[in-house]
Amino acid sequence: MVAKKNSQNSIKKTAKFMLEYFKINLQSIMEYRISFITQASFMFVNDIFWVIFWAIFFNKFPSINNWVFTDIMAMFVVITCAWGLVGTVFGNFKNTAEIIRDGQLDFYLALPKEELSHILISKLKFDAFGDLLFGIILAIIFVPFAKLPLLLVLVLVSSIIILGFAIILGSLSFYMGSSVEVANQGLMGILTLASYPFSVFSGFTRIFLLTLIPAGFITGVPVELLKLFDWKWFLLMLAFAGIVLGISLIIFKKGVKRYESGNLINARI
Amino acid sequence: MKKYFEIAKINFLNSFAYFGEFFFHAIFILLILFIFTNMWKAVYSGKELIEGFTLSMMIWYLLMAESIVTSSPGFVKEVNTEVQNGEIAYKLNKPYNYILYHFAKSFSRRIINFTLTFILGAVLIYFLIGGFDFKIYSLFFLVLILFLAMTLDFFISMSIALLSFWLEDSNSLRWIYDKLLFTIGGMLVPLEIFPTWLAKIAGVLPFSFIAYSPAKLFVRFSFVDFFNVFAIQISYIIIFGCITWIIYKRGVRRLNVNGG
Repeated sequence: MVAKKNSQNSIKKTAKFMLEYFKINLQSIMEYRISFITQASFMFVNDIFWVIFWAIFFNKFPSINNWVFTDIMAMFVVITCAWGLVGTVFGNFKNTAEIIRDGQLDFYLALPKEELSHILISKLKFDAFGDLLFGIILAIIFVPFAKLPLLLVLVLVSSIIILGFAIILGSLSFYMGSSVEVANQGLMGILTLASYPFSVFSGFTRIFLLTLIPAGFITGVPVELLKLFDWKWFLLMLAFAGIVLGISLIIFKKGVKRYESGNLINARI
Repeated sequence: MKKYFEIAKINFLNSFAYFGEFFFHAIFILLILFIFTNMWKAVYSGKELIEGFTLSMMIWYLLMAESIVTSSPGFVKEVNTEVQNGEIAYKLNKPYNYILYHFAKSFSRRIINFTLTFILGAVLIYFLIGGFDFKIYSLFFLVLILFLAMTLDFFISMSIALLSFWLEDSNSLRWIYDKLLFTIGGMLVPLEIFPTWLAKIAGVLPFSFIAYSPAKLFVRFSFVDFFNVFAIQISYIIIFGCITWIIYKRGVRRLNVNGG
């Protein structure tokens, strides 16, 4: 009973700490506003190019294995919102491997706050705001109003899968010495695979995309659920997100125990 | 001319130290090819030809277009950094032309990038789809068109990079340029897939002479198309070569380096 209460208190404290940190991060935008506007707007323009490409493609071929243009737009809503959400809240999610490899973890371990959440939130990814804004605008245009609550849930679950996957790849640095290249390519790969219609994959590839490289759960399953809701797939997606996040936390925590300081001295200004 | 050849040679040899980087780059392109192969298979189901392209021609087209566009080394960022931190001042004193120095340096890296991506991609496509009716006599003409496509790409990229004299971050412009190559440049799909009005516009812009035209000549060679593409590529190279030179001259004039 006491242990349960302690654990609840710890979660509350971490959540409060993350919220405060996020507020400070948002304030820092004002300090770097030119850079923020440039990066966010270029990401927004980048996303527009992809919409143009798909508009051209579906103008010529109205359906690819039962996916039509609006399905592709729903896919873009999910991936830009989920990727953007992870980037805005956990801006360091792509840099964990580098932080561990370079011995920068010392800084976080020396502080009384939970280290993983601290690492993840200690950077703001400006371009992620462009993704998020683009996704929200696209959702308003292409997703029916009645489906917006479901979309919100699906985006949150997709974000958890992306975050968990990123933590797993980043934490491999504890065991491999450096997983920077693996993490970069892995995240780039999953983002790419999640940005194309899931309906074109079949057989072994489909299984692969629903397990090892879970791009199917990030956009494929959410789009299918938005088209036709199915409790079985919804619960499967929830369970998968829980498993990925759980595994990522275990790998990270076990890795921290193996971690040896690089005695790196640096100043954070 | 000899010194630029030597710069290219040294950088070519140095590049082998970064073989892992090239390898990961090629693996990523293979992933894109795999996705597009699946996508085009779904589109082609039951169809023999789409706009004059068979399925295998479409995938080999994509390989050639991807290999050209993605082989470009990231020298825009390098030039941007050199201008921002003043390092360019040291390079201006050297006994070579700054633009030609970067041309030689980036071209040598590009050859490795292109070759590795193309070979690995070709092996993958051969296993997934099979070959196509390649005209062996077109090889010499294709190499010439590829060289001109990469030269044109260099001058457009360099003119963007040199805007660093005025802009804080010209690399973002390079990002937009990349997306133009992907879409209206015909890297992802040939212009025949576009609506007619858009294909006509895209067909006269320089971007399509970097990706679309060389890739189309690769899968469907004709001497008439070759001479057309050759003439337009040369014209665009002259235009963008002059633009690059003007931007460079004006930029150097405003250069103000503090300290050392």
